[in-house]
Amino acid sequence: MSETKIQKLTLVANDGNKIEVDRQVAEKSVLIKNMLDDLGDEQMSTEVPIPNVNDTVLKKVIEWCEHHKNDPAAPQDDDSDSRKKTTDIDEWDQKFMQVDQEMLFEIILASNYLDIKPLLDVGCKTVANMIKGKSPEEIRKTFNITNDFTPEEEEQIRRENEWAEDR
Amino acid sequence: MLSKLWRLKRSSPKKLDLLPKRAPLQEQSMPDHGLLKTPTPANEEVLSTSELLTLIFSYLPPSTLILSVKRVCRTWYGVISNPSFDLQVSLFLRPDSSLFTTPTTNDLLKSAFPFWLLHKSQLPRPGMCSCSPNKCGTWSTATSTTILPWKRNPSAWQRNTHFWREMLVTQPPHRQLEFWKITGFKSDEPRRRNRTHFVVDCPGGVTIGILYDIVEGWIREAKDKTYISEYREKTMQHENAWEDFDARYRGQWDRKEFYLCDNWEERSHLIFLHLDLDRYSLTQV
Repeated sequence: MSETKIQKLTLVANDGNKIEVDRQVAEKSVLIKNMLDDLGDEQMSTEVPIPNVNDTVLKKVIEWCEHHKNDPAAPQDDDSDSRKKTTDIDEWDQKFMQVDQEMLFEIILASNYLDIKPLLDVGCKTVANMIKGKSPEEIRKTFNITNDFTPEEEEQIRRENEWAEDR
Repeated sequence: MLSKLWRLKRSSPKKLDLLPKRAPLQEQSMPDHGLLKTPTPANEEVLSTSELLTLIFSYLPPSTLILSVKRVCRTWYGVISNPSFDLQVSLFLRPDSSLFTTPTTNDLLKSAFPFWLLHKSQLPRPGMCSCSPNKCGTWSTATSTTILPWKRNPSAWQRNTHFWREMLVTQPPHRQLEFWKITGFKSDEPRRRNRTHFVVDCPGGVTIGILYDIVEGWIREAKDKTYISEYREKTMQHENAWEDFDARYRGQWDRKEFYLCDNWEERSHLIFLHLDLDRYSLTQV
C-alpha cells in the first residue's frame, strides 16, 4: 500500500559508512530501483549495501543524483538509437566532473555498477574529451598507459593507417 | 562526524536547489583532470574494459579513432579493429539511424580529400557551373588526377582495402548519387551544352569505396585509346597534324559532376567531385 511505501533509504558504502537519501534520488540508480521493484517494500530493508563503491565516491554519485532527480527518465529501451551523439556536457555536469582522474574513473565504475546511464554517459564524454585531438603518445601519457606493441605490430598499424595519414 | 554534517546538508533538497552552482566540490578543482602519475585500480579497470572503452570511443570522430586511439595499446587496438555495433556507427561503418544525429561528414575522409565534399551552397546549380578549375578549386582534371589521394600513394590504398572501402562518407549517410555529364565547347552558352543527368541509388549509403570505383572507372575511360591513338596516328601521318587536332579538341569540354544526395529533387546536395576532362592536355600524358 502506498502509505507503507519507503520514502528514505540508507545506502551503505563498502567501508561501512551510511548515507541516507530520498527514495526518488536513490532510484536514479536502475540497480536500486529494480531491487525495490523486485523485492517489494515489505521485504526491502531500508539499508542497501553498495559493496562496490566507497564512501567518498558514493557521496559524489549521490550529489549528482540529487541534482538530476527531476530529470525525465531515460527511454526504457536503452538503444544507441535514442542517444544523442554529442560530446557537449551541460554546465553543472562539467563543474561536477572537475575532479582528479582517480575520482573520474571511480565515478564511471560506480555509475556503471549502479546502472545510472546518464551519469555514465557524462563520465565517458569527459574521458572522450580528454582523448580528442591528442596523439597516441599524448594519450598514453595522460592516462599512464604502457605501449605494449612490438615494433613489428607498430609497423603493421602504420601500414594499415598509411592511406589516411598520407596528406 | 563529517559525513553526518554532509548528510544533514544534502538531505534537504530545497537548500540544494537554492545553491545549485555553489555546491561545493568534494575534490580539488582540476579542469584538465591532470596527468596520471601512477596507474590506479579505477583507471586501469575502465581503460581495459572493452564495454566501457566502446562507450567512451563512441563519442569520438573517425579521425581520432583511426589515427590516435587505435595506436595507443593492444587493448584499444582490439576494440577499434573489432568494433561493436555502436562503435561501427562512430567509425562510419554502419548507418546511424538515430533521429538526433546532426548530419556530419566523415572528418577522416574530409582531410584525405580536401577538394571533395563541399557544400552545394558554395556552388551554382548542378550542371550549370562554368568557371575554370583553378578559379573554383573544386575539381580535378584527368591530367591532374595525380592529386587524387590514392594516386599519390597507390600502394597504401591497395593494401588492406577493408580499412577504408566500407567507410560512409556522411553520417547519417547520403543514399543517392547524382551525376551530370556535360559535353560541348567552352565557348558555348552554358544552356547549349549537352547535358546528361542520372541518379544512382545506394541503399546502404554512399561509401568511399563506391566513390573510388566511380572516379577510377571514369579516369580509365577518359584515358582510353580513342583520341590518344587518333592523335598519335595523325602526328605520324604529317607534321601539322597536331594543329588539326588542337583545333578540334582544344575548346572541347567534357565534364562530370558528382553529387551526394538523399533526394536529388530536393537539391540538398553535398558536392563530391567535379572532374574536368581537358582532352587537349590529355594527349600530353
